[in-house]
Amino acid sequence: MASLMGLAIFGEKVAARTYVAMADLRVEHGDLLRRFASMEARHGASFLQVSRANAVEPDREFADRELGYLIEQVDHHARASDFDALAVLQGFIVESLAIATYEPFLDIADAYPGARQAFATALADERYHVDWITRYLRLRYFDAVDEFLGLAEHVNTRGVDCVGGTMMNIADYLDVVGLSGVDCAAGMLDGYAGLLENVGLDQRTALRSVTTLFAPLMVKYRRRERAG
Amino acid sequence: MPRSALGGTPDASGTAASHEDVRPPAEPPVDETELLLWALMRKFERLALEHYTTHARALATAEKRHFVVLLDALETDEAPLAASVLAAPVEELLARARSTDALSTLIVQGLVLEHLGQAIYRVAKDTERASPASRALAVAGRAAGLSVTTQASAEIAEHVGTHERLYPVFAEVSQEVIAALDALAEPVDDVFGERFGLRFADVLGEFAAGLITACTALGMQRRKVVAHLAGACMGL
Repeated sequence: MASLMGLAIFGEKVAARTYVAMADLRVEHGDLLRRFASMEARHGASFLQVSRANAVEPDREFADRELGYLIEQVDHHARASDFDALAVLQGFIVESLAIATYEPFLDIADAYPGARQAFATALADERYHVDWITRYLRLRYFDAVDEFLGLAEHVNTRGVDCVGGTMMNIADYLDVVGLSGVDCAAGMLDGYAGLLENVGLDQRTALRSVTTLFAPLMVKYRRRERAG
Repeated sequence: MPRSALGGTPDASGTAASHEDVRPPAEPPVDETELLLWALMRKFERLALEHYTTHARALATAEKRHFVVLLDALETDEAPLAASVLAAPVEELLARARSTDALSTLIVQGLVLEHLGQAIYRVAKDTERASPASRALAVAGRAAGLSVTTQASAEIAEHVGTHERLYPVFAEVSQEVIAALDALAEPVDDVFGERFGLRFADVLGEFAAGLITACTALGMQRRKVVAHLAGACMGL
């Protein structure tokens, strides 16, 4: 639980930082994106309260290790002023991981005082963010689906490796707290592919784009488990 | 459904792709690595056709039989395959693919392994590093695979069912063979990656996308199918 809460708390802080970077790049969406950043920061604060209320010390070292690769990518896209890459990375890939874990966690949240309210609020907010990003990308890539596929594949190469890799690294911890690591991983993969479809990719292309990068992570997980 | 042979004659079966579009290569492939690929695919294709003929005759389509004839006409030597790093995982997969009844023939061979074959052919037909002969064979292989999966889906819907009735059967019958795929990862990359640009990750991505799409067309819930594939890949 310490690793999961560490990732949730510090991951929300990284999400806030990413939305601020996006706000800096697009003045016309700046106010809204700064509000998204505030919402993410509030999630981090409320998760910290839940952690304290349940005597769980968040594992910062684990979180830093997992989030370092993500921060590196966010900084790379921000330096390149690539707003759309940040939108896919944060608004789709990272949010897909959050939704795929927060949603099933609600089924067991009552075992942890204060957790239901904190995670239900975060889940609703993340969905709101995803809806906005989806609308933005649909408008931006209307009649330019091939261009969007190029963007998604460019971001996926490291984005899925990074965030999907984190999902694989927490799969066992999810099992321990009573969730299913496999179901959460499948939820993230399926959820992200579904978002790409919502922007305009056909089902097969979206699934191929995501599974080509996600499936090797799953195979790697299996090798690691076998090796003990 | 009865676990006996399904009816239907191969010639009378409806098929998705016409083999009129698929011509045999004028010159056979001569590259050793390409011949290794075709020796490998011939083992799977022969086994599949054998099972279709025995257990599910409607799947022994004209395109599939034609393709096996094309592969048989190649002068491939199985000794290099047997000596390669592919030998053990391929034998393991073949062992799990040896269907003993109509149900497993339809699901394991007709759906899962045909989608794996199509994924391999789809990647191979587009690789510029392969010879024209191999690319033409890959086109023929894909068309043959499509003719079978179209037929298999229709047979599954008729004899096993669709939606929630089908999913548990599909999951149980396909588990073993999907779980055996990961052993192919490094051998496929080692043997075909550099030469062909045929990488296991690309094949797996194509395979998963094709199989999930076929399963949802049969009414199975996409999330459940994805979770099934994820569980098999993760060894759970």
